[in-house]
Amino acid sequence: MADPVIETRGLLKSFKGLNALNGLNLSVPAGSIFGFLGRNGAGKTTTIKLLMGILKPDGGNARVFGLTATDASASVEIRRRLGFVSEEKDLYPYMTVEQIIRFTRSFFPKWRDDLDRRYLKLFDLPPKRKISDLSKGMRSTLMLLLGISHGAELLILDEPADGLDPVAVEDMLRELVAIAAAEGTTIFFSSHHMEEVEQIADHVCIIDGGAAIVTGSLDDLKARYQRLRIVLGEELQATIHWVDGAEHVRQEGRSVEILASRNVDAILNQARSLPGASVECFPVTLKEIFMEHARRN
Amino acid sequence: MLWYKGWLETRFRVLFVLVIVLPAIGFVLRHIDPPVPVAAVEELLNALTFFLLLIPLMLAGAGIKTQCILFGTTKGLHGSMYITLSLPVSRLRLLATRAGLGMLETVGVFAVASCVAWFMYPAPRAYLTVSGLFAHWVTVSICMSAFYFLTVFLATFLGDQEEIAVSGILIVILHLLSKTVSVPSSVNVFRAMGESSPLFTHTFPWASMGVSLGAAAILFLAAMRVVQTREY
Repeated sequence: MADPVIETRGLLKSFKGLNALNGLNLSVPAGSIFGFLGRNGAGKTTTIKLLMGILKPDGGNARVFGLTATDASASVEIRRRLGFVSEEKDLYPYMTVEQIIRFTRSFFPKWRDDLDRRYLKLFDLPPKRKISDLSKGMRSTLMLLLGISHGAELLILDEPADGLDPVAVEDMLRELVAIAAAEGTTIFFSSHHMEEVEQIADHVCIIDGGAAIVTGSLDDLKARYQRLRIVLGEELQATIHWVDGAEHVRQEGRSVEILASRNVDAILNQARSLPGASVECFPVTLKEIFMEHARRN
Repeated sequence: MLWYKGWLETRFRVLFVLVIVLPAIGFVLRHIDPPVPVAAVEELLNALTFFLLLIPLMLAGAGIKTQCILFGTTKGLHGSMYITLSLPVSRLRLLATRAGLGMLETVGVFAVASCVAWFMYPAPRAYLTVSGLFAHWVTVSICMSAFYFLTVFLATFLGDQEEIAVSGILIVILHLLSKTVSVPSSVNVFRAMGESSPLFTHTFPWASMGVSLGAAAILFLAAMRVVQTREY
């Protein structure tokens, strides 16, 4: 298996005594579309800033392309190989679209003119317009253009869909998938919009309280998590002690709903062994997994 | 192209400074009709020199935070700073390029002001030689560097408008101290730009220039330290 593009071990960071990251372990496979999920304040942006050398960790380590992110000269090399869309979506307000393209291009020898022309057209960005006159959505797509066009091996996108209308979100997600497929670019994107992540990600990490609480491939997670709906027989009155893996059990009368995070077969067998019980099994969405963990934490 | 970003941020400031400085020089020079006592010329030059210290306040920058074009509404740290920090360049290069550009603009504005004074008004031509004016330009450019790098240092941790205000206040305080506290005149940087200028003494105030360069170097190193260790 190829080395991970991003790897963190026990990453710690606090601000004024408040823990932003609390021993974060992360491994982003090369070529993956990696959804980095968490509530606001969960530590997503702090992680990204640490990966880019904008912040320094209090403990643990972070490696990008196998290089230590905290080392100043390695950090320059890391930034040469990655594209970045910041959460703020602020660009230099005094530049025009074509000026910022010219400016950014000068730092990247592998700049792709074909890509910048393509995305200018696709995202309908007027080259002569000042950035201060662009909408937040246009600034988002311009940042994406700048990140993609320099031939980045890794795209780090912090809430990339913020400010975009639904059509633009669809366009952007489609392009991200196309880039990952065509160029082999690894895409690491943070979001709190589960639907976007579920639509394109093949790996996810849910972060809460500065630590990863769920991580893995999306297919594995979906196979592991199941929602069970059980209607108990009339004669069953006692409280049932479910086997390990029944994460969230909600019982109303004879109806029981269980979110199973593991041991699905054992829980199913237990349910089916109950006298007069009928059992149905449903796949769960990423949002349900996220909500379950968010509630618990 | 970092210089290009810096130039786009400061070009209207350069223009603004010229619009302020050139009429001020004109105002001073129109009041010097030969013959006047040299002491009066020195006094006017002192006033003008203090006024010229506004130039570095306006043009200095540390290269990381995005500066507003003139006196815009950009307060604190603009979000585009993260785009700057995501570029594949070291923080030292960001600082050095921006500080270097501002210093060039500062000495450039002063050179333009000197040339305008020489060509447009009779008084400088009556009192001064071209070589004397050039020596004065060199002296002021070097002596100004301490004040310029003071503003660069402040720009590493203060917002755009705060940096100008704090730097201005510090320069006024230093100027007042130079008049009230007994500082050896050989190292008095303010005097070196005024009555101890080569315009009148026909010799460079080496000690003052050395003090200024030393202070500028220390302030640049301090700015470098802040920029390299600061988290954004």
